[in-house]
Amino acid sequence: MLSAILAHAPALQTVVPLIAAPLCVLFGRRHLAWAITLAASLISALFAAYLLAQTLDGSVISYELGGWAPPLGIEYRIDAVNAFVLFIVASVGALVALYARESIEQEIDPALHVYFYTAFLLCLTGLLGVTITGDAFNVFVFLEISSLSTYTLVALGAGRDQRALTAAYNYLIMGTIGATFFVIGIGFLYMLTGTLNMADLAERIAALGDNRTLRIAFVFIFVGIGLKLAMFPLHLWLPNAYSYAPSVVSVFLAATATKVAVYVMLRFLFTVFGFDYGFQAATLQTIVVPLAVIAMFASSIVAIFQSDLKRMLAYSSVAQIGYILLGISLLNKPGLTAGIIHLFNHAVIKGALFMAVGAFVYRIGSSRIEDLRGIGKQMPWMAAAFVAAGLGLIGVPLTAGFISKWYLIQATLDEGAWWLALLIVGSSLLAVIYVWRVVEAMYLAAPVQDAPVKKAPWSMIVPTWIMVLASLYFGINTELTGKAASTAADLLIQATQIEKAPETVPGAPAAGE
Amino acid sequence: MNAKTDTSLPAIARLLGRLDGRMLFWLLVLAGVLLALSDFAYHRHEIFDFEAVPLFYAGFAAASVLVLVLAGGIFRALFKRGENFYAPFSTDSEPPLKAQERDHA
Amino acid sequence: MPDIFPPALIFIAAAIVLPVLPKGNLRALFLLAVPLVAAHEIWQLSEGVTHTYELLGYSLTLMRVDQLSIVFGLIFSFAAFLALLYAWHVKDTVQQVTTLLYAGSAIGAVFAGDFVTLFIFWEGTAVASVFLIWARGTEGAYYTGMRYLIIQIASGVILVAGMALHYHETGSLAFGALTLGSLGTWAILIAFGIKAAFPLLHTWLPDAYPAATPTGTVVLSIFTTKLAIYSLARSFAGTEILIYIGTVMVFWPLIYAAAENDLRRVLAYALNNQLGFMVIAVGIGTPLALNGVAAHAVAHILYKSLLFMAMGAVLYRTGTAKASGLGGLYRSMPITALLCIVGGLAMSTPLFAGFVSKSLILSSVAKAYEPLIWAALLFGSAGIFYVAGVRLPYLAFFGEDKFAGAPERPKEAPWNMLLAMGLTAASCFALGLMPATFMSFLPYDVAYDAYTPDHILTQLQVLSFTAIAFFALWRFGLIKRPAPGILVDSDWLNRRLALAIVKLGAYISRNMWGLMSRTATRRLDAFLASIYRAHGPQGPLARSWPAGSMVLWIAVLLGFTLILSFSQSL
Repeated sequence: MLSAILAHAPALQTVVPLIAAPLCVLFGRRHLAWAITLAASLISALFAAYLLAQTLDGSVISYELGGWAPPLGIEYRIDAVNAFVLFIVASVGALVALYARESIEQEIDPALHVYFYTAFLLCLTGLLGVTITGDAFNVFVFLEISSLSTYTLVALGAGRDQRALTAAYNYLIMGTIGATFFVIGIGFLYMLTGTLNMADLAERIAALGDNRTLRIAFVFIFVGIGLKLAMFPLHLWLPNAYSYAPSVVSVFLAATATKVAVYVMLRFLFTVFGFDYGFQAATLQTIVVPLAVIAMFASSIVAIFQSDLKRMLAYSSVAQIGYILLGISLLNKPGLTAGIIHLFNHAVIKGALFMAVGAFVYRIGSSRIEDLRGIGKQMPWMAAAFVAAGLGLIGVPLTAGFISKWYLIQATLDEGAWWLALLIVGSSLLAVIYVWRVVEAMYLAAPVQDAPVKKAPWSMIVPTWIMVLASLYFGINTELTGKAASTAADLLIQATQIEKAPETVPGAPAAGE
Repeated sequence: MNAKTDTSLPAIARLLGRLDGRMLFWLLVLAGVLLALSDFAYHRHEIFDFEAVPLFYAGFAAASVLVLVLAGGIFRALFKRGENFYAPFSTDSEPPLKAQERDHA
Repeated sequence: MPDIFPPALIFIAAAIVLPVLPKGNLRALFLLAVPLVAAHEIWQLSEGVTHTYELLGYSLTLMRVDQLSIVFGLIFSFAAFLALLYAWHVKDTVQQVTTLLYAGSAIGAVFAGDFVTLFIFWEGTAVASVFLIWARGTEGAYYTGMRYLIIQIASGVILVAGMALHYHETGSLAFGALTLGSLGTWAILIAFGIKAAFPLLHTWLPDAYPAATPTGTVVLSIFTTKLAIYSLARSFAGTEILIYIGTVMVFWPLIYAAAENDLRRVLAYALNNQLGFMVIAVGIGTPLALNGVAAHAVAHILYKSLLFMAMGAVLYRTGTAKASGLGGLYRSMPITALLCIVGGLAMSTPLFAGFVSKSLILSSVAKAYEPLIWAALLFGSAGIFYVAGVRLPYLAFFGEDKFAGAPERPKEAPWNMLLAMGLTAASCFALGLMPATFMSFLPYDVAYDAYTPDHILTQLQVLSFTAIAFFALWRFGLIKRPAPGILVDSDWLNRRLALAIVKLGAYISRNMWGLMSRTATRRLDAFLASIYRAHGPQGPLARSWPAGSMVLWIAVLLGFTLILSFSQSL
């Protein structure tokens, strides 16, 4: 029985939340909807963990949806790369589902709770689907499912702040343009090769060689996904969306949505286009590296001057995406490993930070830094969680953030780009400043009012601390993250013919052991 | 009131108050002169040539203090600013600690 | 000997236990016991690598014991004991805990066998020590503490960067001798140099030390800078550039010390000057010179603590440590006055530890035949005695009686401060009386006799003529009691100039950006506005022009990427 279910784990991964979503509406009761959501997201987290365990050794699972063989049928194709991302998305989804119940009590009209859960499950379905599928057009379909539900989720923040509507609207325009570019790119590819299956695409593209259509397809897909992953300067939708969305949505989006987009970028750059052509490397090195560096600095500086904590964290996310992109565009194995590890670590860290902020909003109804004065004494658990995760954001040793930066610095040094290493260290100092501002307000400033603020509810403290402890755990024990990321990097590199980087990363701790 | 007769002061302070500053100074000068004169009586093992100059150490020390005092005076003239120069509340400009605060510190 | 518990962890464990203990004598006794237990442990250590651990797949060395680390470990523990005795009356848990963590980190760093461990403890000293400044509780102390913390943390960050570069180059993380040359080793040198208060990197020292609490400054004066000296001796012994850096350190701070009003800042500058002595000796790098470094670190920790304790007692009893507000204080604090004078003498008078260690350094420079450096050191010896041995006690305790009209005279320092000062003075004396025992602790086995007639006579000449010159110049009015006011040091560069440049830069870029984006968006706005006019009511839509600018960016990026990918040859 169990093995029969597990054989269909790839399909169930997306089907479970997809079916659960309409169930929420059908039952129409918000507590029941929450139970369904929690159950569905836990189940898909279990499936994701199972799939990760299956692929961690570098093997690939191919699942034919409905029994139709690829390239005609849709294929779900899971290797270490997307199993890792699936695991991130699904486990964050489960924690967020746990956290959501109390959080939305304060922020969303109870009548809309059912729709919140529905949209959340659809969004989860979309993100999981984008990650798991091996079919290029299917990626677009799932991307649209996740995007449309995200617009709804962001707009639900209107209960607390009307500006959520504008933010959602802007995001909708941007997201639609991104998706359109993406589908245009896919169209070109289809025109060129007559197939939509990624593995098949890769083969045919390699057979056809370089041509103009391919280049246009590449550029459209690159810009389309760049928008989705908030690559500087296409990030303008992100700060508003993250700051005006309900807190729980900010948690979920910050930890998963951009990460999935990064995954799609990786998949297309390395697996589909195969990286055989100079124009791709040129794009990455001439466009992405400078933009990533600018993002690291400009967004961090913007973050320093924000007065709203959510907005500050949003800009910090843009900067962190800069680190991820920098790692990827170094085009060597250590760089890819660093990018993928940071994908995970940043998801955990930023998720924890937004969760802590969500708890502040829950209790004092504001995420403005000046309203958080003295909160360290009133909400000790959440404030401590924020500090612990904030240390990770800075990259203090013994936190996950340090591991990311350590790998990243090693990768830049491998390329001989020590100036990039210095820039990474320098931009980390900016993170010290913006995290410190919050710590200062929370612990050193006199409380705003004497009225006692109650501790956050346990259903919020527990998921937050799971995230925080994870961020500390993965800062000490890098076996899982290091192995998953280096296996993924190996797979991506194998798919291409870029020059093999030295097999062993000097000083890459425990990677691939 | 004179320190040596002020009975509100500790005994050691009154003892110190009995010492005559002027006499002490001349005693110091006498000791210095004797030490300096030892240059002529005792032959040192110099490493550097200039060490052999009589009264080298005495003169060098006195000259050092003079140089330092002059340099300090010049620096004071050039670089002295008000205690609020950097910030209105710097540790330099804060009023003396109150007694009870001091006991906490 | 694996059954030895690492001394750093003794301090850290004690810091965790401490808050549970009831405030009062029990806790104070416990505090005093901690450094003694640690010193006892260090005493029993045998040389070699005694503790290793695994982190991130590296095997790291928690405890590497040799004679150099033992000397520093012992003096750090003993000085921590004296400082805690001096702070017996302090009831503040934060200061107690952070003092323990600070001492523990410093000792941990001394025994660290690799750069990762060093870095962890290095940052530990930074974070723990700042609380001793913040504990003063004033606004000025808060900002001073922030400046201090930023610089100290930056030192650690530079250390980590240097470590990574060095590791990448050599594959070694060992905290041992390095050769300057690569970027990594330079970064490590600068990281050490910040904590060792190299010229231009030194302003944190005179900025922060006078801002801490009376007891906190004593603690601060012990660890950070001497840890840096230890690290320099460990990694950069014999590096020539240090000789010249050290020479500047002998001069520059001394002039400030000679002109400064705040007597605790005078001591901070004097401390910086003495660090110059040690840095020069590290640069000389011979076994004799390195013995001099270790000996002078020990002696200097003791006599500088004594002087800081005396000035701390003055601050504690009178509320100020500024020469402009002091004078004639021997009347009410005679024992403190005498001990302060002893502290001044302990710097370089025969029979005291400072004489032995200074003779060692001077001899090592003379043996290396560096006449100019040697003369600079002689100038430094005379100058430091003038600044901290004569001028400082005179300004605080003698001269015009500033407390004559006060309703109540200040009291003598409390018993624990007097006891701590007395013990410190006694240890200076004991080490000076037993030079052979003192020498037997030093890292290298080099025969040296400080008590030759040459040394004694020349040193006494220097001291007596320094004092004579001071009193004579005072009488002629060439040396005066300073008026209130601060002296601007090179910190002006970062606290004023850099700030002004940043503000100017921000102003320019804000306006430039405003101009650029106004021009760009005006055109775009005109375009969009025409669409919006055609499509209905303006209200909500008019506010969505940022969406337009986002689209503009997309177009720009798309176009640029297209051009770029087409410009590559097919």
